[in-house]
Amino acid sequence: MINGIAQGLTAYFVWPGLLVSALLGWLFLWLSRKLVARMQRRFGPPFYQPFFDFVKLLGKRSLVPAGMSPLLYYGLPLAAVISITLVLAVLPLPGGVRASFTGDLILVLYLMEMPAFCDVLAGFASRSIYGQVGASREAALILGYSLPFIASVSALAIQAGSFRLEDVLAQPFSAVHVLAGLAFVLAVPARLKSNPFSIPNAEQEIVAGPHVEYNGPALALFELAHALEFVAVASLFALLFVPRLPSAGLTLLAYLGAALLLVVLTSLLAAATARLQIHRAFRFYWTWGALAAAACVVVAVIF
Amino acid sequence: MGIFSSILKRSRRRSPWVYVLNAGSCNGCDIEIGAVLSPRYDLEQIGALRQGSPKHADILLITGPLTLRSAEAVRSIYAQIPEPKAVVAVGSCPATGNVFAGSPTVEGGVLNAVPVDVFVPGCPPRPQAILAGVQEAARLLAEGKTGRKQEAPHD
Amino acid sequence: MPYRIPIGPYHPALEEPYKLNIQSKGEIVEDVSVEVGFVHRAIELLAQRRNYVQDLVLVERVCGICSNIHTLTFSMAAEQIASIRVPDRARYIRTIMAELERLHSHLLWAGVGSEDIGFQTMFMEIYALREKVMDVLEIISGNRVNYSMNCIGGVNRDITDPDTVLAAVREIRAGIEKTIIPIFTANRTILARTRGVGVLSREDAVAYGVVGPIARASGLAIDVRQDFSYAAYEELGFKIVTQDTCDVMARVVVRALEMLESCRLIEKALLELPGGPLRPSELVTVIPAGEAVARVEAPRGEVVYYLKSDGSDTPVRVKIRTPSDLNIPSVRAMARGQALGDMAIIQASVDPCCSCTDR
Repeated sequence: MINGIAQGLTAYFVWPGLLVSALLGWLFLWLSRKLVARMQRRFGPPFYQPFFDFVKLLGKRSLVPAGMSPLLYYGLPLAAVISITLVLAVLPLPGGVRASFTGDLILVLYLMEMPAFCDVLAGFASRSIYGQVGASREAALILGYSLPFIASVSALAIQAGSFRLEDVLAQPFSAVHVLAGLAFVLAVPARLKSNPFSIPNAEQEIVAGPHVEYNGPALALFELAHALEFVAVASLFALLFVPRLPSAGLTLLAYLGAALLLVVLTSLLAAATARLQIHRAFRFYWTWGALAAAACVVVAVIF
Repeated sequence: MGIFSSILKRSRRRSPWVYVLNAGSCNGCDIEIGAVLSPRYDLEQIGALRQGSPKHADILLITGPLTLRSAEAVRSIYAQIPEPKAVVAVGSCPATGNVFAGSPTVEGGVLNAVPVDVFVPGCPPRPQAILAGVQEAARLLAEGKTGRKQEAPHD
Repeated sequence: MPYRIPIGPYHPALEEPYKLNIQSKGEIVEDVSVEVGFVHRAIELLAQRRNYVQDLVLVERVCGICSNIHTLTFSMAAEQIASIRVPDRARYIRTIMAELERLHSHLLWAGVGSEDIGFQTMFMEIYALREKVMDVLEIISGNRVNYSMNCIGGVNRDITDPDTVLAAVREIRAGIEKTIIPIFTANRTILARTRGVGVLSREDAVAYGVVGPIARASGLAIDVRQDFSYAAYEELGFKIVTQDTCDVMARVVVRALEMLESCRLIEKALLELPGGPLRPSELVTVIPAGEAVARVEAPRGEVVYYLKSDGSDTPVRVKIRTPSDLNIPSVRAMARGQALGDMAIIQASVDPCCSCTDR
């Protein structure tokens, strides 16, 4: 019992949870910024940059915006961090300890939406017009990217006939994985709010979107949640779509490779595009996203 | 505690986010600040980012001689930046009013509105000088030496 | 859900402080009103208190982006009253400076516009090229922004090394032709954000009295360089650029083609640079009594200066009419019925210059 609790705490706070994922997330964020900078022929930030940004924000005096309850102001970013860390803790990454239970994939899907929902709530609660427009855009974007995202994960579950992660992972690699993988990748840029889908936080249109009134430690938590979300998306992608290798070490390396590939691809896309308008982004996801979603679900049902 | 405060000090030095405020400038300094973001000078290499909201910023870059209509906004935006914060006055206008000194619609220098930590003189200053000014302000932030009240110049 | 969204006076999309009050229904803009005057420095008043030499320094700081145009127009007005003939070499150098300024201003605009549609890489690419223009300006004048090239009756500095300038301008032209124009006309996300967006019909353009690239993008062939030629434009054979799709894309294309025309004019002027003096041998400090109006095509459109002298060393009246003064209100006609997310690029497509407008 005590051993179980200790294992759970380790999974939550150390590996694959908070500590390691935060470091990895900062590394990913740095890599993304550095890649974009290099493509723009700039030198770019040093590798410890996201960490220093985080600590600096923690050390700033906070101003709770007028008319917003401090409970909401601090609660929302905290909820975002807690839930996204929970996702990481339940992912069966090599070396991690976890308990599998029926329907845990559904839990993962739900928890992964939490940071975005917290963003939307934070935007609406901020009483700033920019925050509200940002929030409504983010809500629309969630509706868009959720289609291919949920369909890709569900396709694997349909194929396995179960929402238990263990069962899904036990399936041999097949055409469903390829199609579902594509649908997953389609959803990634919007999930991470990177270009051309950086619509909710469009600086030139609505200042900073949902986070406009946030500052200091609360903003630091939102930034941390974003870094962790980066790792969660990359880990889930690696876990679901990269075949397992004989040894745990090799598998971990393959996972890391897949995650880095995802980072590089999103950075390349971000550097090569302008920001789309929300209705175009929505149309994109409800045509191409829907097509990809339908394709992988149909293939999963047939096979 | 000691470790955290020394990391915090380094972080403040390494992560100065700036907010640019035009207090009636002729644009000359503003376009040079734009050039500081460009590949040749690359503000991001010292960890600085340009922020759209003053609430996310550490350093306020002010240009212009402080026109009457911008004075209130300058005070309010300065108040919106969470502590600790620094102010960099870019160009000759925020220091003295420059060629606009004596105009009835210009206050002539921003010292009447906010405490300035670093002056970057020039009409306009070169991008390198602005970059150095941001660095200097970040150093002052790390050492906690910002926000000292200075006396406004008087004739 | 009806929103009332203020953009500005201090907002990341705006290079300068002015205010757009947007009335929107959901993400669709219903109406916009514009408020200016945040940068009013009473320059006209100050100019009437200072002498002509000091005024040149002052009007240079009407606007940091088109600083050269203001000293040029002021000098032209003074020269007209005093009947001073500007030497040929000075006329050519003035043309070169004016076109270099147009290059840097249009590139600056393209950079800011890219930033407004969230295309940061394009912003960086354009600003990297713009630095080369700044280098040329620095080679010629020693300054990056306020060049102080013009004096009454001529120019202050010579172009001592035309070959270096020529090589640099050719490089800039290649940059515009090989990177800027292809990306702006082929990148699908850029096309999605500019084509059919912010239309200002020919009728509206006439009604609002817009000038410069915005008028030319709405099919109006007006350009002071063609209609009332000054400096050396007549000898160099200026060719006007117009488009008639009236949208943001048309404004992009007009400015892009104008940059190529500027490069051509600079190259030709450098190759045909006549010899001779740069300015009258003695500094002009007193202007005889009289009045004059001078017109010049700034990067944003027509600049008009009215100058009245009573024969002393201080002007009696200096009136400055800048292009943005006419162009900024047209945002209203462009914005109705557009998406909220497009407001940033629509207002940027006008290239509003508030320090010019407010003076």
